[in-house]
Amino acid sequence: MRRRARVRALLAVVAGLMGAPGLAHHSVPGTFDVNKTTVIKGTVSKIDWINPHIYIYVDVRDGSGAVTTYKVETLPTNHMRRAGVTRADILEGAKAGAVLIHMYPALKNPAAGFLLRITFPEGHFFHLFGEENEIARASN
Amino acid sequence: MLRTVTAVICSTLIAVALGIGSVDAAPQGTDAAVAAAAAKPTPRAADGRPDLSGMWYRRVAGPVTQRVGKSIVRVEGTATVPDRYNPGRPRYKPEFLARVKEMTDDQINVDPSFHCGPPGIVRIGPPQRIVQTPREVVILYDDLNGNFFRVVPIDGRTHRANVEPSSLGDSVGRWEGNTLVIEVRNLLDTTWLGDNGLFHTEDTKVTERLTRKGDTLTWEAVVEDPEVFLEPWKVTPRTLTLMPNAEIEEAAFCEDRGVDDRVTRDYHGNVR
Repeated sequence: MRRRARVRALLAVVAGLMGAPGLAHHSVPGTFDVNKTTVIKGTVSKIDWINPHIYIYVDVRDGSGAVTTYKVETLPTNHMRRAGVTRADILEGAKAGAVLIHMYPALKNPAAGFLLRITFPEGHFFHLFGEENEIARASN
Repeated sequence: MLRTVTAVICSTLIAVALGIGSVDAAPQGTDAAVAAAAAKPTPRAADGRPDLSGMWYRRVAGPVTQRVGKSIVRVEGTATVPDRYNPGRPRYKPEFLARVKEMTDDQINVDPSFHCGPPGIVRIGPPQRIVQTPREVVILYDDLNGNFFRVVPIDGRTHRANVEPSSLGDSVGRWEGNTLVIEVRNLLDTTWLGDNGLFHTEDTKVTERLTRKGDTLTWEAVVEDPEVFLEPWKVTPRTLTLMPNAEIEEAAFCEDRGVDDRVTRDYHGNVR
């Protein structure tokens, strides 16, 4: 039994190293760098509540005042429902100001990513994908 | 280990800060939730059969989460990786392996479900919403690619003749003790059985078994396609839990945004 537990733990570590979270439709590891977490801060300008994946658009202003719109991809709508998150929840939370986005950066598009966690100005957040350590390792 | 402990402490602090004394003991999607649901009595329909009606929980992408105050937090001890569910794959005859590989390598272009096409049986997975009457069992799906339904007669009717083949085929059910057995025929061969080039023929036969125990529903499926498989494929079973307060919803529009949004040829994890 203990040996089995050790094997299981080993398998979990190997799977973690492989970084291959399954997500419907296309591959997160194929499209995004799952070994990195980046953070952006900006205002939610649009949400496409569509399948097979939802997109949240976040306007990020740099030091010079230039605005870049990031395309942040997230779960399909039925997964979001099961997580208990609605489009209105996100819009409501984002009304108070800039949101913080933790995401896997896209491999090709510098202004795109896959959402791990969205944190609202009032402090509450929706953790939708990934592990705690992937939040903790975040870099800009 | 330290990180795990820290995460647990953080979750608890968040719960306290948000005024939640304790979080749910067994959030939906955890093994504990399945065990608790299975221990409940199994409801029976008026005809004495187990009542399979209800909305059944399943979620495979992302970690198991729960609401704590206004936040959605990860449930500790549940992992995003590896996949919580892997359906497995059939064993193809050697002469078809090259075709499977070719379709796998070009999945982003040639998999119909990547372009909002119907997923078909068995890729669509277990039932999401069931409505049971003495004459038929209606199965409803809220899929990434749209809403789908099946009307399964359970009153002795047989497979229909002169019906066009379809992605979900023609289903006929019967009770074997407490298990509903559904035979599926007349399937289109244009759907895939799963990721990575799992093609099949129009002669595919699928047998599903649905067993309710307490507030859990176990889905088993066997796919037979002797023309291309070495042996019947037993799909990995799934046990779902009842969502008493949820209802199935209309699926949001599936928009095919082209292959630029699916830039992979190396990994596919399209479990529903």
